[in-house]
Amino acid sequence: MEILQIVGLGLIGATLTLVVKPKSPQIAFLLSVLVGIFIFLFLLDKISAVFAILQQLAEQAHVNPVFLSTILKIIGIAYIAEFGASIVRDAGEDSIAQKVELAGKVLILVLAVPIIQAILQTILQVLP
Amino acid sequence: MIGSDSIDIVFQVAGIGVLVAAISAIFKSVDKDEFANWTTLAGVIIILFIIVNKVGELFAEIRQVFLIH
Repeated sequence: MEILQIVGLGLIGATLTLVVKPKSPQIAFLLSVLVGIFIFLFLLDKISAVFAILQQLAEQAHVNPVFLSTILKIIGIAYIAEFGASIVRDAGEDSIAQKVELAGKVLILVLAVPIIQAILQTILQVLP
Repeated sequence: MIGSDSIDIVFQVAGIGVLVAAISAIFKSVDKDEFANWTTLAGVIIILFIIVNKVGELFAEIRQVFLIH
């Protein structure tokens, strides 16, 4: 199963990072970034499969495709922001990690505003 | 599939790291500290090159999956 490979890669990456850390911390950090990238790349195939199914369901339910693509973008931004923030935190730079997370939240908010407007308009139409 | 190539690259990077650390230790032992620093820097740059390629690949894939412009 894939989870075994992921855990294996994670363990090997962790041990190699520990091997290299005392000698040169920078390379150990880059190694952990590399392992993170590989695991994330592997997950992307699974995510795109799930999103394809979601899109089919949305079409059957006649949902406005704009909403779904915005939600996909929001999830993508959340993923990348969390990925970057955790790597930067790994390097010991907590303040930069928080700034990255803040940027992710702001960008998600920017994307969410049109959806909020659409919801408000539908609600106002429903009210007498 | 995580693929065997990903684990190869992880081992390559670790190997470069250990090698560079050993070489810089040798340089330090013959009191050529600046050479030691240069070798460590070179090792970090090589690994950074690999990492940047992989990050570029990852972001291209993310852009495709999440339909981000």
